[in-house]
This record gives sequence, C-alpha cells and structure tokens, in this order.
Amino acid sequence: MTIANANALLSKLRGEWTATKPNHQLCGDLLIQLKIALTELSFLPTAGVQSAEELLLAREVLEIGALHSIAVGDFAAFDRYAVQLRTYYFDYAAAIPTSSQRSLLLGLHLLRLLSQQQIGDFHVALERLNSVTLTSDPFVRFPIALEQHIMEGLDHQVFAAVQNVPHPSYVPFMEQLLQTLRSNAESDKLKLSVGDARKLAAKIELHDYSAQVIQNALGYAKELERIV
Amino acid sequence: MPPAAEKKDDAANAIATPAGSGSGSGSDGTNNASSSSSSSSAPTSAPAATPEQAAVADIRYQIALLDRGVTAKETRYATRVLRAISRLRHTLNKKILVTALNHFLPTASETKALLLEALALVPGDAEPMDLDSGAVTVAAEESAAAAVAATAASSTATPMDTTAAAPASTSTTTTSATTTTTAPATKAKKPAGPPASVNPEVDAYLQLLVVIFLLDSKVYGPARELAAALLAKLQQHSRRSLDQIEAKAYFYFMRAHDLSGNETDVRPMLHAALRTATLHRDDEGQATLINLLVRNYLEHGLYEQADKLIVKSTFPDHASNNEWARYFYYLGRIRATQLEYSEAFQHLQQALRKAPQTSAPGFLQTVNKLAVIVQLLLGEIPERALFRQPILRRSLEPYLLLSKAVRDGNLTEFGSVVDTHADKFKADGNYMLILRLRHSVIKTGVRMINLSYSRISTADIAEKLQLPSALDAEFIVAKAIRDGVIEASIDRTNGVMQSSELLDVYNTSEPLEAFNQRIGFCLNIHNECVKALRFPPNAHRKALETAEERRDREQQEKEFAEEMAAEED
Repeated sequence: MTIANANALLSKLRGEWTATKPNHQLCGDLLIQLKIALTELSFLPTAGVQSAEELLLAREVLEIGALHSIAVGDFAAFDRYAVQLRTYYFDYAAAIPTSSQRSLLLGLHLLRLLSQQQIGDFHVALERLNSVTLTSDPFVRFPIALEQHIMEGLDHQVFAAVQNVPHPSYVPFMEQLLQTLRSNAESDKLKLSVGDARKLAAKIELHDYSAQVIQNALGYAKELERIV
Repeated sequence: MPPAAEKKDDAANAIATPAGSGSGSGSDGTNNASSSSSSSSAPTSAPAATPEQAAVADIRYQIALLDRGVTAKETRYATRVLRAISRLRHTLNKKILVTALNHFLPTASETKALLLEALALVPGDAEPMDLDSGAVTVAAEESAAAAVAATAASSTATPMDTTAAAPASTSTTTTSATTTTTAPATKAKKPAGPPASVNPEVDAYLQLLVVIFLLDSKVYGPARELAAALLAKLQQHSRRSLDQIEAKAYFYFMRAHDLSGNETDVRPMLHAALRTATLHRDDEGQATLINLLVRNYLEHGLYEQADKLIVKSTFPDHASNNEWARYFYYLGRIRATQLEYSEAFQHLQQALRKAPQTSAPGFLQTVNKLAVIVQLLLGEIPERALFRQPILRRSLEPYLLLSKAVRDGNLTEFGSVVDTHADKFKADGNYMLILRLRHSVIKTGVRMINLSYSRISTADIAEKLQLPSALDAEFIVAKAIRDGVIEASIDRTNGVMQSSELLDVYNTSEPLEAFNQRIGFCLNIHNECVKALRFPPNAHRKALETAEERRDREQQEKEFAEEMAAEED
C-alpha cells in the first residue's frame, strides 16, 4: 500500500472520529486497516531517515487510536499506543513539528500509570519531560498534582478532582484511580479491625525471628571458621 | 649508584636501547622487570632538571612501563600508567608534548604528524626542549654505552622478531652485558634520537595524552576528532594489551563529545563497542562503556532504557574502583527515581566508599548531594558533620538548608529554600526528587507533633503544619498512621489525634538487625581483602629450602641427635 492510500484511509478515519457521534466500530476497523498499511511504511522506525510525511501520518493514526481505545475501554491497547507514541514525541521531536495532542496524551499516559499504582514508572516518565511542560501544561500538571495528593494522603482532594478533569478522556482513568484508592483504604481498615489477625501476625513474626537468629549465628560461625 | 639516578637510568634504557640484555642464567626478563618496578615508583625528577624536563622523563618512564607490560603480558603495568595520567595531566604543556612526540615517536610516524598538527591549534611555546643537557644526558650516555657494550658482547646476535617479542623493554638497571644472549643487532642507534618503531600501545598512549591536553586547553572539537581517530586506529589492532588504553580512549572521546556540544547520536557506536568488549572479555572496556552509555541515557532523561541496560548487562567484577564508583552512582540515581530509596542509598554509599577519597572532589560533591536527598526521602536526617567537610561545605549549602527545613518539619521554610535555590537544584538534576520531599516535611512535622502531644485536635495540627483545613490534617495523620510513621489513633467524632504509648525499640528485632548488618559488613571487607591479595608466581620457592640445604640440616640434626645420645650415655 502506498502512502496515498494510507492518507485516504486516514482522512476517512479523521472524518469519522471528529464527527459528533463517532461510530466506534467503524473507527476500530479503519484503525486496523491503517495499522496494517503502516507496517509497509516507516512505522516501526529502524536505522535510516524517515520522511516527515510518513512520520506525521503514523503519529496521527496512533493518536486517534489511543483516544479511541479509551473510548471503547480497551486500556491494554492504550498502553501500547502510548508507548509507541513516545518515539514520535521524543525521538523525532526535531524531525516533525510538535503535535497539538502531545500534552493531552502524555498526561493521559501519566494518569494511566498512576491509576495502575506504577509510581516508579510514573516518575521515570516525568524525568523525560522538560521543566516548562511540568510547570505550565494543564494536562500534565493534573496527574502530577494528583500524585502529590496521594503521597501526602489527601485522598479527599483526589475525589474532588474528578469534577475538574482537563479533558473528558481522563474520566475512565480517574474512575480506575478512585477504585484503587478505595480498595486500599478498605484493606487498611480490614487490617486494623481484626484483632485476631494481629495476634496471628505476631506469632508468625516470632517464628521468623528465632529462625533468623539461628541463621545469623550459623553464618557468623562459618565466616569465623574461614578467618581462623 | 644513588637510587634516583638508577631509576632514571632504568627508564632511559628502556627507551634508548631497542633490545636490552635478555635472559641470563637464572634470571629471565619478566622477573627482572617486575622486581625492579615494584621497588621503584614513578621517577622523581633529578634535582638539576626543570619541571618540564621532569615531565618528559615521566612520560618516558610511563612508556617504558607500557613496553614492559607488553613483554610480560601483564595488564598491571598499563593500569599503573593510566592511573598516573591524572597526576601527569596537571604538568602537561605544549612544549612538553612536542618534545615527547619528537623523541618517542618515529620520525616518519603518521601519528606524530597528526598530533603535532593538533597541538598547533593550542597557543603556546612549541619549541621542543633540548633534552641533551644536565641529568638527562648523563643517563642517556650511560645507556648508550651499555647498548654499545651489549652489541659488542654478542657475537651470535640474532635479530629479534619485533612483533612477537616486542623488544625495548627487558632492559635491567645493571645492563649485564656479559651475560647477554640476544642483542639489538638490527636497531642499535643513537639513544636520544627517535626510535625506528614503537609499540601501538605507546603510539596510542601519546595520542591519548594529546587528547587530554586538548581537553584541558578547552579545544573540544579537535579533541573529539582526535579521540575518534584514535578509536578508529585502535579497532584495527587486535591486541589485548590495548584494551585498557582503548577504554580510556572511549572515556575521553565521550568527554570531548559532551563538551563540544556535538549532537550526533553516539549510542549505536557505544553499543557496538560494548558488544566487542564483552566478546573479548575486556573488563575495563565493558565497565567504561556501560557507564558511558548509562550516563548518556540519564543525560537525556531515558531512565527506562538505562535501567534496562543495567538489568541486561553484567558489570564486570574486576573493573577498577573508579568505574565501580560511577556505576553505583548511576544505579543510585536510577533507583532513587524509581522510588526505591533504601536501595538507592545503599548504592550511593558504595559509590562514596569506592570513590577516590582525596582527589575527584566534583564526584564526591555530586554523590553526596544525591545521597542527602535520598536520605531525607527515607525519613532520615543526614549527619551535620557531612556538611562541615571542607570540599563539601560550599557546594552542599543549599542541601544543608533543605535538611534543616525537613528536620524542623517546616513547610514554609522548605518552600522558600526550594524557590531560592531552584536553579541550583535543577542544574544538579535533583529538582524533581526535591519536590517529592514535600511530604517528608509533612511526615516529620506530624511525627514531632505526635512526640510532643499525647492528645491534640486536628484543627491545631492543621494550624501547626500550615495546612488549609482540619480535614486535610486528618487525612495526612491517617496516612502517617497507615505508613507506620507514628503510633497513634484518630478519634473522628471529637476530631482529635490520640498518641499511643511509645514502643521500646530494644524489645524488637531492630538491634539484632542493626548488629547483623554491621557484622556482615566487616566480614565482607575481610573477604574482599583476602580476595584482593596477589601472589606473584614462584615467590614461595625462595622460602623453600633447596636439596643441599636440606642435606645440611639433616646432617646437623643427625649430629645433634648423636651428641645427645652420647651425653646421655
């Protein structure tokens, strides 16, 4: 398939996606066709120079794909799109103009990591962004503020933040996040309320403790043997 | 002969006489070389020589060591030579280098022309020194005499295979011409002049010196070019004795690359080099390249890739301490970003231990800065003495203020410190980590309130911590209880925090763990020391008695026994 065909497909997809009531089924089919088409272009970048046109095309397909996957609730697909988009947002930053959707999708990716409680990955992803984006971009600032609230324990502010999400696409991930927070709080309560569980835990701890003392002593004996 | 002069003679000989006295009866070249080198460190300049002459003599000595390493197939010598670079680079100037190039590289060498051309970019006195004066001449003449004697003594001279045996290195201080079996039949010539050919090691070493000199003179672009040329040249050879120099060459290439602001992507090249080094089991090369790659990834904020590289590659055990120190630092930084603070802190401490303690203040400052933040994130307060150390005091000042704010649990002060020093923190690449400290400040505040009050209303807590509402305070306290920061409970109906009885830490397994950790550390040091001991081959033979000695001893014992028997009778 040539780039012209792919472009034609893309404009069809774009038309459907920007319609007031997009047909998700049709968008999904078009996306599959486009992704197959892309494999014949420079979709999976390897060595060599890619034409800016092909890169722009691939990026737009991925952006629509990512938003579409949220709309139909296929979050695993969103993860894949987000990872693929990073190449276009960072590695090709110099080759193609910045996308208008860039901060929206970066923010969504951050929120997704947060809702999955992948805090380490969340911070790793933050390191990639420059300080201007971090401080002034509303899409990116939102998940960062949420993370700070969670770390400080201000759960009620997280619950309040659902009211003012910067973009409707944020809602599904927010719901996920709240779900995680609720289940965390419940498991904490469970831990505190059951006194028997505590006693049991103490017993297990005692057992571990004596086993550890024995193990340490054996270790010292072995090492001392080696020295003497 | 006084020791200083002897060393000079030794060094001069190694260069000047293409092939020294080889194996005589009972002593082979390798043993001689190692015994004489172990007794002498780098040569101190003869009193009469100027500093510049001393520097040239130093380079000459280093070249002799390199040659020795090639002959003895020992990597130790190259290690010593490369370690000496940090000392040598402070004394280098254009004059010294031009002189060294003129004397130690063959006249027709391509490298020589290339290096002289590169040196021409640096302003300065380029007139080569006259080496045939003072102490240097004496040594040179002595060695010349020795060379002549050696030639004369060997009637059965056979030309040595230059590639296989790499001559010019087995000369001894005594130059025992009478016991010579091999001789410089083909290449005996005027000792002070340039040699006809040199080992690739020497050639590469001199080019490396010029690269470093260009770096120090802030001529970054040409330094990068020259280093790239050096790497290309080194890849043509397949000599394991070049590995260490190659590793250093990569290091300085990347240094020049970074400083010259060159934007080209060097990662594919580094990855290819890492693959080669791994296949060659070149420990130093692997260590250097892994560090360079990780550094490059971190510079571009690619923590994920850096982490993957570290997970998928094994850092060689036998890498030098400096590379280990760098590696631990990078590892610490990655782990800190991933919120694994205790692991990060461990790595940073290891980095500090492995780092050179007196030199490299920049490295110590950088690592300490990160270590302070990680420690604060762990909820510990760094020791005050750390900030008093002379080399750290100035550069760690913002971090001291930060620690104070965290220790006091004072959010306002914390905010103002972060704002005033934001530029410094950003330059250090620690800004994002510092922002995470905000909740440590709150935690400390909560802990201090918990310690001072047995019962306090959440509204008062909110006021003390400068939080917007009592509800915020309640959530924060709840989180602190959940995280095990404080032992307390919340009475929601009355809106108060009730502190629980303090736990006696000596009733827990805490002391056991602390002792175990320290004992483990001591035992580990002991084991590492034992592993690091070196045993030169056949050294124990000297302690063993020979057959003759044993006969004597047995004879004596026998006589003694007879005497005893006689006395008893």
